[in-house]
Amino acid sequence: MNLACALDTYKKISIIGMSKNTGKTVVLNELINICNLNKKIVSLTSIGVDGEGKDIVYKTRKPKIYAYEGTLIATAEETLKSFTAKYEILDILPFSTSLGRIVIVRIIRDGFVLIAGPDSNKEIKDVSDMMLNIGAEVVLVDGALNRKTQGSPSITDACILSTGASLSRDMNITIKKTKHVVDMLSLKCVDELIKSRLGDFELNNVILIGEDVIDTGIKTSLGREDEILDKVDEYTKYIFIPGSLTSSFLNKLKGLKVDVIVKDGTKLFCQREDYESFIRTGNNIYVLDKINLICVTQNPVSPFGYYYDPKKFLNELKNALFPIEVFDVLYEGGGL
Amino acid sequence: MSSGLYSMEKKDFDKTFDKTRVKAYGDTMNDGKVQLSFTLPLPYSDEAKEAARQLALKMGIEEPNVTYMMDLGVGYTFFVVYGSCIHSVDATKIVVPKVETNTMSMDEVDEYIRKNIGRKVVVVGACTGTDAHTVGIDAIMNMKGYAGHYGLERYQMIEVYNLGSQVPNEVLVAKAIEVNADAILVSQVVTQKNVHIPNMTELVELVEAEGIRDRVILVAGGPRISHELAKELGYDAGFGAGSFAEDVASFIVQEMVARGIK
Repeated sequence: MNLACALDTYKKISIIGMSKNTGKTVVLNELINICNLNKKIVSLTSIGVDGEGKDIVYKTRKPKIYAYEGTLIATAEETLKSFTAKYEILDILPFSTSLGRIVIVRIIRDGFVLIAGPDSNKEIKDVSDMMLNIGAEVVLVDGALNRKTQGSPSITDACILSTGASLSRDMNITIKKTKHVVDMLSLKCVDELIKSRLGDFELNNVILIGEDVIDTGIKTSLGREDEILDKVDEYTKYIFIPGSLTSSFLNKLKGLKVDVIVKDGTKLFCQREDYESFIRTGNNIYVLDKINLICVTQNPVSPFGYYYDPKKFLNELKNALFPIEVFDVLYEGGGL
Repeated sequence: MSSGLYSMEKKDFDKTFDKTRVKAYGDTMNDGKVQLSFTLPLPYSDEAKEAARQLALKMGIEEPNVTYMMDLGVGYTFFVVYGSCIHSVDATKIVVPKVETNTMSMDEVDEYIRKNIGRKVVVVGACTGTDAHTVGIDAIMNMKGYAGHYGLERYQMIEVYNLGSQVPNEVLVAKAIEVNADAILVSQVVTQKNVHIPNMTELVELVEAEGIRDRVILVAGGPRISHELAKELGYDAGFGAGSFAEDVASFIVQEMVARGIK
């Protein structure tokens, strides 16, 4: 799916990155421009800090964000000082950040903006819904560094993954790492039948599904792997984990004929090697909610002074990630 | 003998201090004098010396002077270069966001907790990832504290779990869930090649995935951690060099009250 089509299909879109400098903000700007061309009222927020012109970790140059009249923005009050756009404040929210309270503003004259949204996913979801309620047609949530949780279906409807040369000097490593994240984000949904068996439970505890469905009362797999495994018997077919799934838990499950169910693809914290060897032993990982991964965007240039051949990188990414589409928004446009 | 080429009379040095164009100071205002040291992977030779000089020129050092060079063996050479840096900074335009809390003393923090929260505040801390340097987290958490500022363990109303060094993020989060922590402190001292960045974001991601982000205050600390960086990483606050236990404790308890955590 290309970017223009995605903006017509989804209401809340997050942009997540493989690392810093993979071109998240460039994609955001592209989306803003498409909205402007199509006269769509766009609203913006971010889980990090966006549009500051200079990176605060590496001091490299970063793209600024240009907002058009009518755009709604949820940002921390300190950032308003850096706006060159004229704005009116619509609401002040009780969410505090290290840069002050979160405010919702409407742009009344075009200009550059700086966006630093709320800190937690729940607050991101709340401000997104608020902006949709007061007239926004689409919400764009920009990411930070390599953070991915905002792509969770409980927060946004769909996401775009940005990858690029800043990940590694070796193009093959970059592609491998990207492929792993794409695999995690596009894990298959669990069978409807199994899903309905979970229906009677509040999904806050580890649940075992076999002949019976057993609520273990354990809230997390972190550090309690052995307790969970003690409860697994020969009939257990699935283990539902409410929170994160880590490599250490996967490695303990090897050899058991048990599949794992997690809420969505952002809950996975396992290394590529551990995931692959788990799958090779005939086990599977399923999700309750599938993430709508719109496309992957690439940035073949690293700010650390090296770059890949853009055409080759694009082609190899396309081959590796098929059927997910790959775009380079600067090289060929976002499929407008 | 020497009549002296050095003029004792010449006194027209530049003495103007312009805060919008601050330059490095050697012995007179705006002389821009700097000294830098670095190693090049080149064998000890005149060519290596010239390479060091050219590198300094590219850095904006005028009239670079290699004052010292030493053969490090295996084809490496160490240099000390002296020269004038042409760059200046506008000191009037510098803004560094800092944690804005009223720092209270240990007793005031205890009293504040008794009055506003009414139970012990649980704090879990560790030096995470591959980092084994606990000097930072210990200065904040250990009972004896640092430089006359007692650590969090001494606070009557704070329950402290210091997990030590090289703690994987998942172990830290597991502990936080186990003891129902109100705050997680992460210390990162080793920051070479920015290894702390992905390590710190992984912790935030784990906390979000476990669904406890809203009831935990995430605090980062370390010599290269700033409040601005903490925001970018998704933490509630960042404490750099020169912060003490009471700064961290005051922030945690006031933030808890602001967020209505009881």
